[in-house]
Amino acid sequence: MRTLLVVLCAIGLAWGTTLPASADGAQDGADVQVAQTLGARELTVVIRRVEPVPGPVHVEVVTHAGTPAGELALRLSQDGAVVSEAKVVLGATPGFHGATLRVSGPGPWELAVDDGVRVATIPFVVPARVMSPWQNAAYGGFVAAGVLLLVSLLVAVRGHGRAALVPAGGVVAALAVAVTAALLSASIPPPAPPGRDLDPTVDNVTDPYAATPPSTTDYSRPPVNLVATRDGDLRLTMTDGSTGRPVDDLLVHDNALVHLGVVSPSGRLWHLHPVRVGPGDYRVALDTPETGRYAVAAEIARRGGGRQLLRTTIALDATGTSAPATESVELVRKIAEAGSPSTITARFGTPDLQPWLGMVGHMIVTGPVTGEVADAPVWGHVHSMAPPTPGRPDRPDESVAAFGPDVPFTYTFPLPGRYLVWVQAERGYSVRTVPAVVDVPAAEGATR
Amino acid sequence: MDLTAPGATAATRVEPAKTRTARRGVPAAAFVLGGTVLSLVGLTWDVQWHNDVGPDTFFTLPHLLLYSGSAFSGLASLFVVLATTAAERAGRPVDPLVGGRAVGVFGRTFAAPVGYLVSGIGAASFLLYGLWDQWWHSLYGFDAVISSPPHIGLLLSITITMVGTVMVFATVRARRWGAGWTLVALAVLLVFSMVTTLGLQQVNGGAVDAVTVGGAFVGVLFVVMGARVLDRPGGALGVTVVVALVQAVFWWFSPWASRVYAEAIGLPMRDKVSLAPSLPSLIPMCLLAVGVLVEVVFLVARRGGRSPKLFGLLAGGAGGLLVAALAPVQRGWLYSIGLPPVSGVVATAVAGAVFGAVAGFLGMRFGGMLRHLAPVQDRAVAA
Amino acid sequence: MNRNAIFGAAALVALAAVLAVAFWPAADVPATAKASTARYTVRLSVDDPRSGPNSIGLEVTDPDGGPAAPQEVTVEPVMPQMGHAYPPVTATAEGPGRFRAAATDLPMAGAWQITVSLRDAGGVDQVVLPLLVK
Repeated sequence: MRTLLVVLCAIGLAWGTTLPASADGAQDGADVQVAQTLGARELTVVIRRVEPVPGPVHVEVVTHAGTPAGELALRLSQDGAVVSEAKVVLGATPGFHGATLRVSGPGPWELAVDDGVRVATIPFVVPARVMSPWQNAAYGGFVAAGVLLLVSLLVAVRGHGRAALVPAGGVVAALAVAVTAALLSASIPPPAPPGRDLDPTVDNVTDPYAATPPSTTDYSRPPVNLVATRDGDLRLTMTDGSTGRPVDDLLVHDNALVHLGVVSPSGRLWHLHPVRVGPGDYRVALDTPETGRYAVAAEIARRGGGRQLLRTTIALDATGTSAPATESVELVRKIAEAGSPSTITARFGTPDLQPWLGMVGHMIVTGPVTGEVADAPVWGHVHSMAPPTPGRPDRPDESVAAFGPDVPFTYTFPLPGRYLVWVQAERGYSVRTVPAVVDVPAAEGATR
Repeated sequence: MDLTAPGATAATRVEPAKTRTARRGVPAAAFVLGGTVLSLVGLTWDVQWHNDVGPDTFFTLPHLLLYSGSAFSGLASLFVVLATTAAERAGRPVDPLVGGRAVGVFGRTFAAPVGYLVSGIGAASFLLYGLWDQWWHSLYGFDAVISSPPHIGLLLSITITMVGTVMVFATVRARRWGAGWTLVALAVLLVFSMVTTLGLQQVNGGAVDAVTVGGAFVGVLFVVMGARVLDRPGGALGVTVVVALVQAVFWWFSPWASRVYAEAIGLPMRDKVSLAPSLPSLIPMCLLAVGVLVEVVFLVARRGGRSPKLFGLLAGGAGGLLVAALAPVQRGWLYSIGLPPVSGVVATAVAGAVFGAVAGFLGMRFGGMLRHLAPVQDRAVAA
Repeated sequence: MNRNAIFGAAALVALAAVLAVAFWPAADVPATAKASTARYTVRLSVDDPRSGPNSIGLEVTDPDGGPAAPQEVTVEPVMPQMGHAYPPVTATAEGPGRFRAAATDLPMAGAWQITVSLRDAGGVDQVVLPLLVK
């Protein structure tokens, strides 16, 4: 019986509804998941959907195998002023570690994750509950009809039959307005979402319908210039290709602000997620076991749409001996000639893979390698998707360990030659990297 | 309280007025009843929608049905009130068979037909509650529950409209169509009230399940009212037969409509959808038995020529016991959730019997009041 | 004058009042934005931002809320969506902690980013403030 009541409660007879404004990485008020390589820790920071506003914000920090135990300070700030603070104690076992903070209102916010040495800042948008004008017209029309109906009845029973016709006419008019607004609203496009398309401000998040001038072109922004330097950490400086200004409008895409691939001269791969320390300033700790020229590839998405692949190289000296761990897993290869789709399937054995960055598997490709690895012309990042669950827009987080065991990737190698390939998937809160070398034959005859 | 005042003999004497009633009263009454049926269809569709699909787009079709149902009833009621007051002002004879007796407002008596006045006020109140509901959702979002204060206000407003509809038809119960549609209006009111009783979730009754007791109360109340308002065999059974028909139709309609609508606007259905439709499952399936029981008790009472009030109490208590005791069985069967603890079932059944007796008593009184709405010589018509 | 007329007139006045409140044009409130660094808090205020020359008012305070006195305050307008940057304007001091960048050219309607650079002996602090030009 209690189950039934709970079910009925959960049904919720929501008559009126509102349009939650979309946010970057948090379209339709979904959770924000951001991978962060903070010092020696590979973390996933999950900011749960914020509702109601003002109200609590649940933040979860997911640690992975090998993450040192310790304490992180979390700070929420708006316009540079800290509003709420909390501490997260990271245990020795990998998994979820939660803390609750507070937001004082909708708008752009920044979550700082501080390990005592580095401070990563994650910008995100707390959406406001917004009523559309046509929604107000529909409800307003029905309410006006109710008032006028009451007035009309009152006037009629007082014996003023003719006078009652005026509010009675009003009832009909108000109902016409309400029904028209209700029926037509479905075909009116919503305004451009602040955060994803527009720079979020408290004003445009609170009222996205207020006079935001429509874009004269599309919302996409100029390409980004990437400079990699080393200053203790590997430091990525991103500037706008048109203005030279720091780029501070990166969106969370595939659960990270920046997906960074670094390949050493001998073909070792690091797949890292640099943290934002300031506008256009991203840093990541990198221990290099070799001296030489490294390939650097960053995948980003700017506000306004479109993803960009930024590639550069950097000469680095050896700083240590630690190298990223790899393991050996059977790869079933169906390699086609260049220009035709090839399929590589990793067989992980048991169906207990966890989604990493929202995907069951990642495959990084670089090649064809003829001289130095850093000079390889092609860079690829292929995904193996988790099957979507109907009716659930949120992707499963890392607590679901039920994917696999086979992880297929299909990719068309554009040029013939020798490629370096790494397949990555997560199991037991540990990212497994499977390196391989793939030889792609040239296509026979000319492609017409 | 005596609503039968002057026109008691006038209506039976003026023959042409009766034929005009038949002509003029039907469309307006049909519109008001149609509006309430629209609201009921909207409600079962909406509950099913939230169960099977979940999220709202801005203004769903079920919501529009709910709103336009009240708008329909309100406009029809307004039309009759306006026409009646205009006729009275012009000095034309006002037919008391349209919507009931004249009613005193602000210390003076006007010729407003009371049934239509009640349904009109209910409709206006529904539309006004929409504002509060919108404000509520802007605060708490659309995860708000069915038993939120504005929702209960909205449901009660529709209930008022449905009560007005019952009054409109009870006035013309002397005619065959009037009697039949009175039972239909009562059945609509009964089915709708099953959802309103979900508001009793807020009541903490300990071992007693307040929602089940509430369901027993409204079930018995409207069945006994049906028996009393016609005061002849068939009233109670008639209501329960219509309820069963509505239940059967909605059993098919609700899931079908929510699926078709979800496909139409491109929203996916939830994974785990219960096979038992939400609103029809709330209606006690044993109501037909309650109807038969009430019929039998009243038959015995009439044969013996004894006071029907005591028998109303008796029939109500037995009916309440039956509904409250079988409700957990019905739920356990429909949702495969097994039975709650025996102590809870017994306590709820006992409370159901007590509240059923009260409902039986009230049903007799309310039925009597409905009879007073129209100056009809029932015995003459029945003969 | 009978009661009906009075009643009707009152109803009309009430209706007119409701409509007036609902549709009265909103007074022009200045566009404002605020942001902080560790050393400064900058509050930007522009009366009626329009495409063309605009006068940008800045209020600069230290962390204690008192007026701050950086050596130089410049305003650097950028329209990020179009990739347009415009020449920086040096703000002149108007009073303690109050600066004004008069005749700052914002030649297009849309969302602008105003970067305010505050230079003092310790270095340069920068804040980025949004401004919607109509």
